[in-house]
Amino acid sequence: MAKTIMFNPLGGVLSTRSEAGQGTSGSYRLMIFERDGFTIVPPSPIGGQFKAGATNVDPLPGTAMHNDGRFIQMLASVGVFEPERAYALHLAIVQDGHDLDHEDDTGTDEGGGPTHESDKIIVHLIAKPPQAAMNARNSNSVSLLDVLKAEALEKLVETVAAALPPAASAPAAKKTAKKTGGNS
Amino acid sequence: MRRYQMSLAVSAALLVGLATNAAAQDDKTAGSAKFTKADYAVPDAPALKMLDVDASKILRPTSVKSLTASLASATDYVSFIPKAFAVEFSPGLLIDGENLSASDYEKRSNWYRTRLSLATKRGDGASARTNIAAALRFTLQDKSDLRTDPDYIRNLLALTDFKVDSMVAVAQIKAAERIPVGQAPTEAQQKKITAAVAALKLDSKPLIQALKHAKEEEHWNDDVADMAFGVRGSSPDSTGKASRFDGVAGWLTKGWGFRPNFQLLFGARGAYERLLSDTATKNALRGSGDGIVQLYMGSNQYKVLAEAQATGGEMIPKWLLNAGGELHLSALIWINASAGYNWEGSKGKFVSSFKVNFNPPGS
Repeated sequence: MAKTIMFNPLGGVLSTRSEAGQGTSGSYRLMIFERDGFTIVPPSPIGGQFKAGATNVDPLPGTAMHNDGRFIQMLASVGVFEPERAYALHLAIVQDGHDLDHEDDTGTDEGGGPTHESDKIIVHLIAKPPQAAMNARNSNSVSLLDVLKAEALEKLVETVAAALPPAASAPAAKKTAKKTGGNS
Repeated sequence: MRRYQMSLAVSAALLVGLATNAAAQDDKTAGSAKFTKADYAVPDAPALKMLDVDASKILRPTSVKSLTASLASATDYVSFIPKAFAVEFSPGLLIDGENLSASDYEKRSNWYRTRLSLATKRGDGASARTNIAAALRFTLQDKSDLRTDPDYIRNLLALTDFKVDSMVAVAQIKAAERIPVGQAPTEAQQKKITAAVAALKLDSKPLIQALKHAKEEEHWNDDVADMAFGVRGSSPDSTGKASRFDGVAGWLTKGWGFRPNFQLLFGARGAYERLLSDTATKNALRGSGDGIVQLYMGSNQYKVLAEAQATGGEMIPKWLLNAGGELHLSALIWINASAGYNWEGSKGKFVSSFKVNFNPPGS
């Protein structure tokens, strides 16, 4: 049901681009859910209107890695016009200026009302495995050394934090306590 | 518009028949166009008009894929030309439609309003010919195009904002019930959702009414300019061999709106064609033409009409002077009535028309 779109966890912030076809206007909201599928991620719903001049690019909250496993659902309502009553909705996931992939809902409205509503576009965001992520970084002209350095530094911080007693892992708090003359 | 000699009979059959017509009307039939469409306005699908094909059987594809699919299903394995096929579409929307933004539509609206119609028709007899017609319709000026009307778009966005916010409310209720996105709720969960949504008392009817009002009231006497050209041919068999030219036809409608209460419409049709009933013989092509001038006064709810019509060419000339009116009793029912004098050659007669139109709810 949900379309899986893979992204680079080491890449830039993820964003969405929402579009309506058939030259029509309308409105959309994006619901972001955690990996359980029902915990709503603030600040969703986010959204806007399909109208002349609107770009409708919305950044997703947090870093790219924060969005691993999350679901994005587009809720949209657009005008339909006689005689075809056709509609087309698109949601693209964008990272570092490139469209990673997109999901669409197109067809002909069978009802008699002036609008068509859609809740069919659901995207499941999955981070690429580390090797694929590094390859992606390389393809974006970032050196492998930078990636390895970042990963090594992250591991070092985690190891030191685990080895130290709890109080030592909060140097800022200790420093503040000393300044005020308190015992720690 | 059918004319009944001094008859003002309104029957249940008429009501039922007109209900079907009303349901098939499109957005642009608001106001005076309702009155003129039947006879002298540029036809929605001129190719169908040229072959006298039933418009209810028309296909309206929304993509190249759907067009080829419908053509393939109409053409069986022994025939090249389908026995009965009618299609009408905007080539621009067919090619670009799925990715066409509102901005792009505004920039080239004349192109996207241009529509192509194709129709084929073959009789059942052994000597019956396969008739083919193709026509292009150009809408050069249409202030009633809803896609580009600021007032309509403003009302539409208010409605769509309301609708998506209602959908968000439902999504939030589902989330509170721990129903994963995209998963259908159980029967018990659905009951809870329905009850919660009912408690919100979401009502979009006032916004829909505002949208309908914006569509109709503002546009009944807008400026319009439509024209269409069509060509017709036929072949003795379905493969298209020994095909022949059977004629051309053209239509023109120009309307000038004088706000707030007047509209002047000019309509013309010209044709140089064989009779459609001429299937086996080679009778000569004949010219014919119609012209009409109509003046409307009033509003979208009620209006009066004065018109003059003329038909000529290689046939008995006809003239008509007519006056009438249109009254909307409600959103469901409106009435047309007219009376005039018709000359056919040297013979004249009094003619009248009375129609009760029923617009089914939700159409």
